[in-house]
Amino acid sequence: MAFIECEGLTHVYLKNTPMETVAISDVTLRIDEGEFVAIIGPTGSGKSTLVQHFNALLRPTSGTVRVGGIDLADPKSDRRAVRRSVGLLFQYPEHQLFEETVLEDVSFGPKNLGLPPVEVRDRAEEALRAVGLDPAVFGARSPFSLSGGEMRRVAAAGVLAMSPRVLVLDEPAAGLDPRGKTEMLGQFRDLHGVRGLTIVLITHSMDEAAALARRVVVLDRGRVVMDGPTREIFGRATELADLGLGVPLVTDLVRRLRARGLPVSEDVLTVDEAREAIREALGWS
Amino acid sequence: MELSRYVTIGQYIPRESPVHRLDPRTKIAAVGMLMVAIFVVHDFVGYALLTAFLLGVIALASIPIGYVLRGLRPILFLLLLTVILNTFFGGVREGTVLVQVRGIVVYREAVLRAAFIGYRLIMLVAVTSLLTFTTSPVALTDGIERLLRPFRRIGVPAHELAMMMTIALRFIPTLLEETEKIMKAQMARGAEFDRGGALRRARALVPVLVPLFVSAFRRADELALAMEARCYRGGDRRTRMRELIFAPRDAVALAVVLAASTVLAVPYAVWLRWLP
Repeated sequence: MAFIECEGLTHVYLKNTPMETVAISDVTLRIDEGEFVAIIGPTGSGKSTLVQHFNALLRPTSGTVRVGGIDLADPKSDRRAVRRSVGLLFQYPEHQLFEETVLEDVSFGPKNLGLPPVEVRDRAEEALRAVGLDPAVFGARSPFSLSGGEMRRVAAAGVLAMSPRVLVLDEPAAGLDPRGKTEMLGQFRDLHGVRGLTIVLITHSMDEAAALARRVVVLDRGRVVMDGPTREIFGRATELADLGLGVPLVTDLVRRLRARGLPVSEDVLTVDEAREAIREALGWS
Repeated sequence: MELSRYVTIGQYIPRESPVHRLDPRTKIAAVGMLMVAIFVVHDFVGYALLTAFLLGVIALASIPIGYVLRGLRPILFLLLLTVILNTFFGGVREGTVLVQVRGIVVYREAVLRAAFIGYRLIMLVAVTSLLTFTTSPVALTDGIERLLRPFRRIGVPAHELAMMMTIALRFIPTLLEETEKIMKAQMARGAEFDRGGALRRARALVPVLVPLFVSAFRRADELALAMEARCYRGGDRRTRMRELIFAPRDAVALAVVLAASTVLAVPYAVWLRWLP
């Protein structure tokens, strides 16, 4: 059984008011434990609304969502248990920091779980290390004195300290400088690869999706329009372009080379693959 | 969780209706006149007529009636308190006794008066929310600024007041959205806002209020910078993209409201009794 299961999931905001809007409709989706899934789609396609169902922040208007066997449509379901197993890092999460010190802010989650103080501290320090911040250096500082990139890491540590099994990331690298972006995404890759966390990544960057995810789900106007292995999805470049999306830069490059007459394979997602494919097409290897 | 579902006061509902098209000054004046009528009227016939008139305007504005009623939710407690206090401590010491339990006497007159006062509150909220439902915040403050302009001579900073109101109104939905987002972010970290006693609930709000203040200040800063970058410098000789125009339909609307409120108010006006 999949860890997260949506069946015919529909969510309508402000139902029965003049401002009613359908955010997602009839989404059926399964995410297994250990997967790394990217969710892509144009702005307003319902990506954020969809993932907020994964940790019970939103209830389905109709349809069902099951997380780790818990049915969220049931009003008596244990939403706390769901939030413990699914961590959600919102867009621009640095805006949620509030404590006086970094360590206390990261401790907020484990404290809410009712853990003993020693374990709270352990978890907070471990989470800080996982995002590349030394607790001895940053722990006692005020979160408001940090740089934007550091604040974002503290916020990420705040979610990691809950020790979730699934990590949902809503545009975690948006607005970071190139180095911050690479480091941040590298940490999530490690969390997936080393610790075996299931990761759901919302992104606008096709390169991020190609480099990290093994499966891509494409949303458009609240519906799942494509769902499959990363390679297969980015092979459908024309369809993606019709949705206002694109393909990774290197995929675009080989497509253009091919259009110019170089018989290069189009099945390319990373720079390394592109190099190999081009060398092969040129007969250099 | 959708906060904007619960806060409908001050919200604008864009529609194409004759009420929406009126000049904001007309609507502000009309609300003033209706308020006078609401305060003067004090019996069933008067309230029935006023209610009918209001329902007519609501229908004309094509605003769902449920939406107007939802605006009452925030004042429900105040409403109940007012009605209860007026029933028991309204100062009515004579009349038909309805209930008598030990020393407490409830008079028919007191109950009626309490009901009327409660109904007045409801109508006041309905009238004012009708104004904000049908008038965009920008139009509303434009109207207020224009109405206040004559008082500039005596030092009323009309433009500045209007600008402050515009900004405040503009940011209500933004801050609501922000609050919702921060609450969700903290809930994702295990925070709970609906458990425990009053103290625990109040304490649970700290993780929301601190980031909210921080972001409000940040937004204010950014807005000030953006305004300065566009050379904003206050009221004098500022031109407008949309001039307020007092159209014939405004005259008609004003005449109708004036007539209606006068007709409603006249039977109750005490001073008429001294006229020959």
